[in-house]
Amino acid sequence: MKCQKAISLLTEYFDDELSQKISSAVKEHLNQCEECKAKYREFKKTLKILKRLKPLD
Amino acid sequence: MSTLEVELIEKAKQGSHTAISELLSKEQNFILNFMYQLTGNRAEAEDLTQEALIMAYRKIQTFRYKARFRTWLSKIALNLFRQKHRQKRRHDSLILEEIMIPGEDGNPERKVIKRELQWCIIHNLQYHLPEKYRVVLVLRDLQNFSYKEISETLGWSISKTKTMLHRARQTFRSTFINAKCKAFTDDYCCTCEGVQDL
Repeated sequence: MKCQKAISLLTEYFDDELSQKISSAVKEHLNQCEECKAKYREFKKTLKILKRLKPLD
Repeated sequence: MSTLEVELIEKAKQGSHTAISELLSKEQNFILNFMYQLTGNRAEAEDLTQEALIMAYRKIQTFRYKARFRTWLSKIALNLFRQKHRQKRRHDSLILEEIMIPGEDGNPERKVIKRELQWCIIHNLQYHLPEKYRVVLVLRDLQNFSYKEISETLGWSISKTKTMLHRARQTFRSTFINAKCKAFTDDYCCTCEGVQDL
């Protein structure tokens, strides 16, 4: 899998919405590509920050 | 949809005031938060919630079980929000001191950081994300809607939902970086220029 494809699938990968086959391919790519791995880390961190928005009581 | 919920809906459709009140009171907090996440303003969120609940009360006869009751109610609230947000809001309408902070923390410095982070999240959602991205991001990442529920609420295909969610997340990430928000660092301290202006 190429970088551009892997990046385009990060949302579905994160949400566990990909087929097992494609999900494994993304995972394999992230394990091999430091640049994409860093982007995925940043992607997850962004969502973690967003989820810190305090709900109203 | 649970059996209890279906029973309540049926009773509400037959005119039971108790049933509709119970149904709506269960969803009130959910709608309030949904509106707060879209507007960034508690008073406005409360007004929109009130209006949405009244409208749902009046329109319960039109509920057809095509989606969850919550999804149907979310659509009503979202339409009201859109009607009132045709004009872009001014940047300075978000006051740092009015931002609520999560948890009680006695450390004043930590309190400021927490407040600034909350400000930063709302600031980015409100002013740096197009409405279509804000809505999809809130539904998925703050309200935990499934892709199917998002597509039902927004009238999008699943494929469009995936594309828009991906773009929304990417845009949210970029705006955080472009705003020079240091929330990416370990101290979660935001120094984007909006905060410095206050």
